Amino acid sequence: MMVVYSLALKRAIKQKITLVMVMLFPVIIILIPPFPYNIIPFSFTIYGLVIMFTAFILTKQVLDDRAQKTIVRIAASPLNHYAYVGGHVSAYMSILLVQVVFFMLLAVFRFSVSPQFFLVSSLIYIVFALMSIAFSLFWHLFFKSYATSIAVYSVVANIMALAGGLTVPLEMFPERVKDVVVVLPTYWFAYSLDASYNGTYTNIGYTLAILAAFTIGFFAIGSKRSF
Amino acid sequence: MVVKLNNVIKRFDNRLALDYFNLEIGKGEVVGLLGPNGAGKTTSINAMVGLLELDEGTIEIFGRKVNGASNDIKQRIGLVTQEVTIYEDISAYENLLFFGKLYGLRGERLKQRIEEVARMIGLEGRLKENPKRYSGGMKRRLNIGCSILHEPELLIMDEPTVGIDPQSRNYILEFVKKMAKETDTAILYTSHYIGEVEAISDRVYIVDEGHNIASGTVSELIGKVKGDNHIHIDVDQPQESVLDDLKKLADVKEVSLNENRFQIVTYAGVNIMDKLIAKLSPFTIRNVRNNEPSLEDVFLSLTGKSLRDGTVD
Amino acid sequence: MLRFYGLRVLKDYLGHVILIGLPIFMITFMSYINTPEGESVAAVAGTITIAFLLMFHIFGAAYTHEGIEKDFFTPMRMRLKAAPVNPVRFIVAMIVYSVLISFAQTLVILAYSMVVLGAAFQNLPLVLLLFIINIVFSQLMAAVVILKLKKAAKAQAVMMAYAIGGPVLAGFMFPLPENTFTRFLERYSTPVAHIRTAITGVLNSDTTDIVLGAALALAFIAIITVVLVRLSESVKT
Repeated sequence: MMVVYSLALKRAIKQKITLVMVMLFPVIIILIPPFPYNIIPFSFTIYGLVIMFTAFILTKQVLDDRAQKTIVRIAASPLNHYAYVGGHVSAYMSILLVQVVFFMLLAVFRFSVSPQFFLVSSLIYIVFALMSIAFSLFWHLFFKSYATSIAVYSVVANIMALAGGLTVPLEMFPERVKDVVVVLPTYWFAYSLDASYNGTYTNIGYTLAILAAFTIGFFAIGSKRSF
Repeated sequence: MVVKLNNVIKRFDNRLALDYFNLEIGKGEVVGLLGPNGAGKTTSINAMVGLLELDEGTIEIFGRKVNGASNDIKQRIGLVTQEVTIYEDISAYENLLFFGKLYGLRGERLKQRIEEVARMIGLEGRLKENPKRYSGGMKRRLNIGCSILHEPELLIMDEPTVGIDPQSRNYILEFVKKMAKETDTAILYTSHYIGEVEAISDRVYIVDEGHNIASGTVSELIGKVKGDNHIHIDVDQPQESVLDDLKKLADVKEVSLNENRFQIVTYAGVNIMDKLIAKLSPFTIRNVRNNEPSLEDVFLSLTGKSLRDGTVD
Repeated sequence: MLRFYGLRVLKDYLGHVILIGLPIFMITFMSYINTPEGESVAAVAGTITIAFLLMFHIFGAAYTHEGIEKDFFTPMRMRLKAAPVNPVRFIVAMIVYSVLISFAQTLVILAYSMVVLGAAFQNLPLVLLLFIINIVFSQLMAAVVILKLKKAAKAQAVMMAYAIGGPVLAGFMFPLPENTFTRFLERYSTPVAHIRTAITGVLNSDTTDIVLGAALALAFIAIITVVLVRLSESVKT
């Protein structure tokens, strides 16, 4: 698995877009002016969309391996398929971890966040990052080409972000809308961030468990070998 | 002559892509262009089609000197590109319609030509489908079809059979021979498959490093190396120690051992088979073959066996 | 021959789903979010529709971008340049049909907004004209970017930066801090801001804003057309 991990890491770092997503986008996002009302600054929730796209771009390698039939060569080797998936996921999580830490350090400077919020929201971002990787792997199963995959994903991710409260504050959602969008993982992500910002930590464990359940579900399907 | 390239020179930065390059193609003739990677085949094609300007030398097409783009000349040329250059998101019929219109065909004449070409390339009844669903061979045939709608007087085919099944390859080769014969089209055919070029060409040019190193009919070219006999003797459990003994025989030029096969090259007109068999008698001889040289032997003897795009340690 | 380019753009079904379906969803969602319970969404639907349409015109420039990329930056280039046709015609055809399709998509979304959400648009013909200006600029910009950068990935990155940055600077995504500089950016930073200024003028019956916004956008179109004509020479060789 370490062999796959280092290869996946190298391939990811070689893509210029990785550097842009990890280093530049958090800076742009953190500069967005906060809402004038006492709700969580927009930067924190919209960063979730950045995580989703970063995870998607990183997992391109897995789709490429399938499209170019490299997966056949790998499957014919002694490497266990779950080691292949595990190696890739670990590499992507390493990169996303760097991004999360970088973003949170920027947040400390920009918004002077409390230590509790720093820790809890970092945990929320890490769980969401893992969920995003799982979702991306699940997503790629349905496509043969990256161009089509990202075109449709852009639509779906934006819908999930909008309806889940990443691009519009959850406070603005009518109750009848909230009842419907609970099926989206992005809703629980925005909900937990909101609660954490407001100092309500009691439900965080519950929301993280829901995100973890989404993660497990997406991994269960997304990690299947497909030629 | 339909095409005449005379001492053409083309440089790209410091690299000489064409170096006093000469080529002629007559009406109804199939001319094969063979050369290793980077020899200048595609550059010469680009020059003929007017996609680049020459540094020196002349190109005459249909009796006119050309240097760079000329729509009149392009109208009479068909180019079958090395890559499959069709639009896969629209139907084959729409592809043919578009490329036909590019070359000035319209209305009933265009429809008629599409039907004729569909028959020629073996895709009648499949034109409504998207090329996305085609096999590699079908895509290649459509690629050719898009180049011949306008009945070109000069057809340039740049490796038209790459990566396709033997049936499609055979179909294309038969099609090329038929087209040259029945429509008097001058055809330039480049390929890495020497057997193909050997099978269909009236004349062959072998190019390397931008200039022609040999040209002529296939038999003329083979005659250049006909001086050598190539003998293959297959044995059980060969030993390398016998190679020296074989090399010491008079009239033996070259000896090598490839797995179970001794490959011996001798001078023409010499018969030393009995001496060879005598040297190899300690082994069980399975097969003996006296090979006539092929165009591949000509090509390799003129251009060498070393790799052109990388080295093997 | 031009018809063929229309066919290529028309058959991009996925593009239609994205460029019609997604804005319709977002307009609907945002209209309901911004309307108190019990009230009609019609009051806000019009403004929200205009904002999303201006943004999605930029995304629609992908038609020109991808069309030129396919024709001139893949092996198809050789086949097209070997044809007895001025290669610039292909670029013009691509832009013309991309503008037409993008405008048709705009009409569909406007129709949805008016019929389903009850939005009303003052002086609709003038608003449509301003939309056309925005569409034309976006498509021309896509052509210039791909011809200049020659690499699809780089060109896509630039267009994405404009697609996000333009609306952000024009104040579509979130309210910018209130100061002279940001007010200037919201009104004059990019052609999408110019058109927004002009459309705001239409809604507020402010002729100065209409003329100023439209004139600035048309000036940008003139400049980018000159650049495009120069860059088009490169496809001939």
